[in-house]
Amino acid sequence: MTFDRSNLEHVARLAMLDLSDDELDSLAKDLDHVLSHFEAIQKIDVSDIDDTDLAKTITTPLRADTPAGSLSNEEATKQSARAEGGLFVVPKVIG
Amino acid sequence: MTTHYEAVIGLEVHAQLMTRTKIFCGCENRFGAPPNTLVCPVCLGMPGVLPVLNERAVELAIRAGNALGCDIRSRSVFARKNYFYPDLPKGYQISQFDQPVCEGGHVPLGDGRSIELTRIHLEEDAGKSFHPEGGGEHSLVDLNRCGVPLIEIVSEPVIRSAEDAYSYLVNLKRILEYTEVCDGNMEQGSLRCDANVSLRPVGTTTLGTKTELKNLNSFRATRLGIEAEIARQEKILTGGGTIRQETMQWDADRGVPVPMRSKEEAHDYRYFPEPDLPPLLLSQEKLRAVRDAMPELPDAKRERFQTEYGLREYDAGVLTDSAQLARFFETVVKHFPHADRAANFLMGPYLRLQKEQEGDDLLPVEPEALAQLLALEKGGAVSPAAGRQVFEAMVRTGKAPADLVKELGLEQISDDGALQTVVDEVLAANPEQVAEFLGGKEKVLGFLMGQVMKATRGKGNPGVLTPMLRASLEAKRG
Amino acid sequence: MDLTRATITEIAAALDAGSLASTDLVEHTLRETGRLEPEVHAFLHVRDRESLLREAKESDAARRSGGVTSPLAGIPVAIKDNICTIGTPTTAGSRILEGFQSAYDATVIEKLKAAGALILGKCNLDEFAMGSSTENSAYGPTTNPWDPARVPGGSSGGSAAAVAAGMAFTALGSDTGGSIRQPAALTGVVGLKPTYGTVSRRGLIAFGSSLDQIGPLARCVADAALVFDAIAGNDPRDATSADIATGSACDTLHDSIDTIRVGVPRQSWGEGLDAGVEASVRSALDQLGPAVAEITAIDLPLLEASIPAYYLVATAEASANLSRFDGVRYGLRDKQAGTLDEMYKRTRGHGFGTEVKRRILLGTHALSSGYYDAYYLRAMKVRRKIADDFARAFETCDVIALPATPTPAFPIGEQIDDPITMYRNDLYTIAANLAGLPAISIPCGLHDDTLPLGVQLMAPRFEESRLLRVASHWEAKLGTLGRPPRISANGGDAR
Repeated sequence: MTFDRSNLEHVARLAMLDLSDDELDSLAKDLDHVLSHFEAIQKIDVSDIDDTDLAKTITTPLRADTPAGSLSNEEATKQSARAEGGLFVVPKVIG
Repeated sequence: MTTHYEAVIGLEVHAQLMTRTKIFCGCENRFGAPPNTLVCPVCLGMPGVLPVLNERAVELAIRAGNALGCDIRSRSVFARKNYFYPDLPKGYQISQFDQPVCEGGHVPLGDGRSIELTRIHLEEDAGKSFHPEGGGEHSLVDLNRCGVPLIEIVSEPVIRSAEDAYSYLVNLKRILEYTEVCDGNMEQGSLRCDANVSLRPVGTTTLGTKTELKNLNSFRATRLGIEAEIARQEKILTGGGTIRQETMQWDADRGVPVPMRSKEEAHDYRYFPEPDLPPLLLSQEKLRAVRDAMPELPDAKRERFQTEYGLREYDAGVLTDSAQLARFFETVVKHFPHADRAANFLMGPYLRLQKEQEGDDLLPVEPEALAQLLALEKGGAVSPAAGRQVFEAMVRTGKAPADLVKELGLEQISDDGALQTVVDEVLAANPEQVAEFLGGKEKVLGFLMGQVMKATRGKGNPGVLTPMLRASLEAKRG
Repeated sequence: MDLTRATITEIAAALDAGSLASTDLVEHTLRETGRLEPEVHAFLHVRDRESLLREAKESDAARRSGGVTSPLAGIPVAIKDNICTIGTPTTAGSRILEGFQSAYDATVIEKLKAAGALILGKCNLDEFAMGSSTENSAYGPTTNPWDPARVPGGSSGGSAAAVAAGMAFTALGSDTGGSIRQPAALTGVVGLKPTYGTVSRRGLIAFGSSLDQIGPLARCVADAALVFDAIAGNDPRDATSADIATGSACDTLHDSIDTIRVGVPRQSWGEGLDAGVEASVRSALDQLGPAVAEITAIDLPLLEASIPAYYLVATAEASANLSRFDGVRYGLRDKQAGTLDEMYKRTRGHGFGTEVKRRILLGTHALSSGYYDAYYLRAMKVRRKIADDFARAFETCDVIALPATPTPAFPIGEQIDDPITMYRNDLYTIAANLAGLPAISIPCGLHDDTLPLGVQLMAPRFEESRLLRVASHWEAKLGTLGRPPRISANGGDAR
């Protein structure tokens, strides 16, 4: 499998990363190179593995349904690049 | 010849769970708080935070599964669903993907038929974004709702009409309320419905292109929205067009489905197992404990209402139709221990007004306040007719019944002299009816009583008036 | 006492005896930091003198009134800057978190504070712990105290350099694929990566959530054991935290190792291993031999495959973990952007460095529709096989010994544009992360008498006590390296 600039543009959109033209070129080359090295794992026989869980008997711990307090509105919003009236402000959400 | 189409509908219902805290952190799960005050580093997606699953949320999901006849998986897995949106702080939603907590099950339609379920899974709710009045270039984000526990109940695509979708939702809501899984408040968004709708020629089995219809936030919207979407698709297909796979939003004001922003590319959510949460393993003991703690279901409650409160079967059936109403009734009776009177009021004026307001939810009156009103009525401070006026005012204003009685001047008139004057005036004004009564038409008494009540603006004490009216008429026989 | 070399045990004894005060430790640290930081750049933030001295005085007073029991009391500890601390910036070495202040302390910080330790400051790292050289920090590289032209390794390069240069008595790092052990080896200090689930990850800015562990970088194995004992333990706020009582690693440090069977993977001696490193590791094994029951060859057939398996799993997890840096609630935001998508793309495109973007893109690809099975899922299966291989190996041995790195520290700039070469630095370390095993790197000499080298030990899950016991005996034979001679001038005694 090769990885080209159109693959890169697709994943950059999914990952919400703005890349310059130069970056698109060099990163496409890097990732193609990296992935071609990683092709080695396609040759490993994994047909005997049907469960990827490392600790099968461990269950996720459960938390009691007891309120533990929240931050104040000031604490919650003070590090935002833009917050007004206790709300986070972002460019308009469409649709 | 024309092709006839049939609809294929699947519903995805999101129900907020009635926990005290959020699914992965200790913030309160509560509606209506000031924006961004029920948030902490975990639900804000601050760097370094980790989720820990709320035990109650798991129990309520299992309970819903039990009530709907699902298989509860002994092992279920949380997954990350990746997408960017300002109301999703982590950039992924923790949900369940290929190994949900419940599989199968069904929702009864109330007429003997039922709709199969695909699954029920646990996930976290997102926050809310608003668009300020007057447009503007910005949106505002409140994350109080972010992390509220949800179950998503997914039906098989086997619903054939908007009417059945409506029944499905009514019955599902009733069960979730009954089991105290969800408060069922559609207006506040505790229960939300999306529909996948496609059409296909009758007699064929392949599925047509579907659209997803969102924002069906009432029973009415669900029925009207799906009806309108079916009609829209039918018109396109009949006209030789093709359906575009897209997400529509139901515009309740205009009564039309509106396409949402069409995405340039299909979503790729890149689900993968949530590494911060080991799988959820449920032991037989845990499942048994949840089953043992199951609240009373509708049939049991109806029977209990008959034996405990001495209600007739029909009345018990009406009052237990929704868990909310049943709970409301029981709270009223706790403060006003006359079940027959409370039942009569709820079955009469209360439900009549609720129906008039076309609401799915309870009227905005506290059960304690209604108990006060019934006590005033029983004590003779207000007549039943005036009581109805007070009740309507309570719904409108939220004021206390005693205050409203005074404010509206509806204190019951029991004074003989004042009432005798009214009776005499009414009899004088209706000589024809008086003659009919004296001629043996007992029925006319009701009409005359109505006139008397009207003249007292409903304030006359019927206990005093009824014998007084009869005595006055008899006196005319001379 | 030479505070640039003294162990925590020695310092604690001196503090108890009253011949040394916590304020002396603070003064020493600040003096050495002031002297060496312009060259080393191990820290992104050093806490202000007044606060540190106030806390040191409180600690000294508590000690005098008999209120101190922990050996860490009054000792300044340096913290990798991807661990959240109240009252200092926490940047993870990224532009996107410039000036960010955490609203809470990581669990390990709570534990260190409970043990009376002082938080000295925040150490430099590869951005979001992604790298093996600390060159990927948005705030400039850290240099190796043994040779300023070379990298200190990474991603915990700042923590390693601070300890190696004698500026810090001990430091916390994090290890996703070798990020504690590799810089420890390249700077001549001890670095411990605990069993996955032993130390709480709450407050560690996630890179690869199923691989990340916090652990100590220290002057000696005993110090590493002390810090490990202080930070380990179940944390109900981390669902992946193990609910297993492991006991104190310090208590058994000096117990005999004469029944221990040491396994050495045949695959250790493969392509890419520097001859000097090989000679040094073989010599170290020769010295260990007489102390243990046996040293035998074992097989880890998928050692080489651990590189792709690791980089696919870690980057997939990272691609989701780093989505929260979106400019909405905290951190950098591109304010030129007119639309929401533009704001996301520009904030992230400009806020992240090249290696971080490379890894987000790789991980996004590994999870994306059509590639998930071939990359992410397959990597997870290979990971499972590697864990099974270890389980099999531990049927015939008690610990595994192998090199920590394939080469000594390399020159700054040499590998930065060559991801595959850079990723190969992790060849010997990442298998322990994939299998969740505890592993430690201890110094085993100098390469050409100039650059430190490390040898590594791995043990079965939750066997930190065994791991540290063998490491402690081995360290006694190999000796510690102390501070690089070139920076020792003018350094030294507090009194």
